[in-house]
Amino acid sequence: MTQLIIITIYLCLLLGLGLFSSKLFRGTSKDYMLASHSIGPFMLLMSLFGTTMTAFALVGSTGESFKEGAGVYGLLASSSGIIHSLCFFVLGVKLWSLGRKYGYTTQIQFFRDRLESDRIGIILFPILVGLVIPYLLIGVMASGTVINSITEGAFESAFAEYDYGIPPWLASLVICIVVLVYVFFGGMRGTAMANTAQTIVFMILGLITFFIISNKLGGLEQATNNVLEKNPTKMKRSVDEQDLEKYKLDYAKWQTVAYYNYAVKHGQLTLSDEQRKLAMEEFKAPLPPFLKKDRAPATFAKKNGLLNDLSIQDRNMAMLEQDDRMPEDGHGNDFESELLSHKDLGHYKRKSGADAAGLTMFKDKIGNPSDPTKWTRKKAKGVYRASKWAPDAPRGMSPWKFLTYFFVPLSVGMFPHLFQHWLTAKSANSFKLAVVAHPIFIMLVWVPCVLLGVWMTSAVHPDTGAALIPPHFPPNAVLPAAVKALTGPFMAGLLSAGILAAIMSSLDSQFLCVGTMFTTDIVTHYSKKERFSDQQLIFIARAFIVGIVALTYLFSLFEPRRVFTLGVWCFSGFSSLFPLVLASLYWRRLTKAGAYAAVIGAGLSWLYMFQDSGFASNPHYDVLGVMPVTFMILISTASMILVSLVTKTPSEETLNKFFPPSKAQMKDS
Amino acid sequence: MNKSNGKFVIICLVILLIILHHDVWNWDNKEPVFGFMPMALLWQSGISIGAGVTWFLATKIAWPDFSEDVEEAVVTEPTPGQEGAE
Repeated sequence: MTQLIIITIYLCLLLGLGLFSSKLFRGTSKDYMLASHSIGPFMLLMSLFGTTMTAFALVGSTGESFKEGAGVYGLLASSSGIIHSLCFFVLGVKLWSLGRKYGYTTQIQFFRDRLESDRIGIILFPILVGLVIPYLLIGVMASGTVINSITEGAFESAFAEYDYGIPPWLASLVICIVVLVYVFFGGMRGTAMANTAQTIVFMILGLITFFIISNKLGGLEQATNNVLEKNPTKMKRSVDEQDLEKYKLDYAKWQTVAYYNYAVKHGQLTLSDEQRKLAMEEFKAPLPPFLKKDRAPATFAKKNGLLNDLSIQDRNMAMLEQDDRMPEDGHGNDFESELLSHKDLGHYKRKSGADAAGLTMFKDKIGNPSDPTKWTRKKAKGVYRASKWAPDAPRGMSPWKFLTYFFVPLSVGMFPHLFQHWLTAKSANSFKLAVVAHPIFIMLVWVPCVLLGVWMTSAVHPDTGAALIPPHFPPNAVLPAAVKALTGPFMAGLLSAGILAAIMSSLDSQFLCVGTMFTTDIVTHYSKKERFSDQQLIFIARAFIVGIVALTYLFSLFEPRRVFTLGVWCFSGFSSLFPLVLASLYWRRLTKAGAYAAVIGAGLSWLYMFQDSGFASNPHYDVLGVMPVTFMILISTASMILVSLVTKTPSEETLNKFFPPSKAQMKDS
Repeated sequence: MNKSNGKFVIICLVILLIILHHDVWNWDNKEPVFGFMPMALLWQSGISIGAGVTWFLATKIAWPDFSEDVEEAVVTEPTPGQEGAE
């Protein structure tokens, strides 16, 4: 309950900040959308950083490094330090100056003007809003997971289905409403102020979390030594021999259990009471009774050749059943003659919600987690997954995928909410602090998160000695679970507020941005001049924001995806439009038709690959061994260049407007 | 240093950072540095610091020259129907 009270107080404070900033509101739509270009260097840095560091940076990076190891930092954090600032430097400052000069509020206004095309907005608007939705989804989804995990056991009898904590759907809803309220009251100024405050909160609390948790794990060195001993692959980017050997052994044991269970279930084998008794006596491994129950007879059956009569097809079916996968999908011709490899097994779709069987299997253990002897429903499902499904194969990082991850942070160049933030700057010099400090701030946030994720693979509870986070644990819940397990209720409440601060500091800008785009690029653009008053425009913006948030909220109720994977897909979509913004600022030859080709090429290639990846359900999806974003950028760049070269150049007037001759050139002429 | 030399220096530094970022020589190194820091993480943190230094230099020697008092103007985008054949 303490955690819930602290989170509630934090949300109330935030609402107070929104109300305070509304007192500074000047009543114009320009002030609402761009804070009247009044944001100085410090607030610009904090709001840009807070906006880019979302659930992805805290919840996503911890979960991903739990799964993939320390190399995760190199995938996106260090590359973002180079690329984000490069985008602020090369695009941000220039777009800011054009925005101030020609009065732009949104990207689409700039593109319409630069490309002499009204309809480019019609194509870009749905694509940009469509890509912002998964970005919003990351925050909405993660806020529900964090609040639910941290408030487990807060109620005595209510919300038993959600482990006696706030249900994720309710938590997400509350967060959306809080952010909506302070964005509505404060507009861009309120958003920038809230972002600044929240960025300070999550950076300080993040570092405190890191030191508290490392102390609980026995100090920095001990926490790392546990990983070296139990999961050395997580310390590097290739597979460690020790992990590989352990995996081979575990996988072979798992196959034996799968064959045994299948043979018993389908009447091909029945052990006598005497054989079962003997099996239990011979089985010496110190396993809990629920595991020993089928491992012991399985080992006995294998040792005595009782599983030898199973055909290849039976064995394959046995593995699919044990791994809760659907056998009717994707049978190849060699299903009856060749044993499925672990990789092949992964191609079969897993039954949706199969781990709910854990709730029945462990129903006597499940209860209110305020009683330390009871399990949460999440734990029951987790133990089911860890004990029934095949063990995870240790996985290294492909150097080619690592290299092509570099394209993902280019997305910053096309984030519509960042464009809007850029335009809030008081002067070009306001950007300097953001350009310099951004990589260092990323490091301060990501390094502790990645280390925590790596440590959690091998951490044990300081009191019980049991594994803190079991294998197959949902990656999105690793950070809140670690915070809850290793800190007291007061600190857990504070630290959760810090995580929520990071999430909300992105949601607010994105909410504001979609409203601004709708009023500016659609409503005002397609209506007669002075048709709507400023007040009406603000109302329309708010109504559209509510619509988009409601849609995102509905999506969040479906089966969750890995925050990191969904984030990478969303960023990849924006990155595929990067060539367009770069060319529009630095390539005179870019034409309207070339821009259409780039947008269509980017959109279609993203859609095709996104559906091919099972809508982000496959976290290891690649195209010819590299990140899909590589091909999206190639396709959009190639189409843009080719089509631009064979179509009519923009008018001289437009070229002079966006590429004014330098003083030297003017002197020459 | 003039702006164009400054830009050249920054471009070279960014390319160097990109090359150093792809640290294949650390791929198999699991030994922690300072007793707790995975090499894969330490090296990449160094890249982040290097990026900070590079961008600091950029603000000193290659910052674009924009007038600080840009006049605000009314947007001159095309309105619907204004376009020709599209």
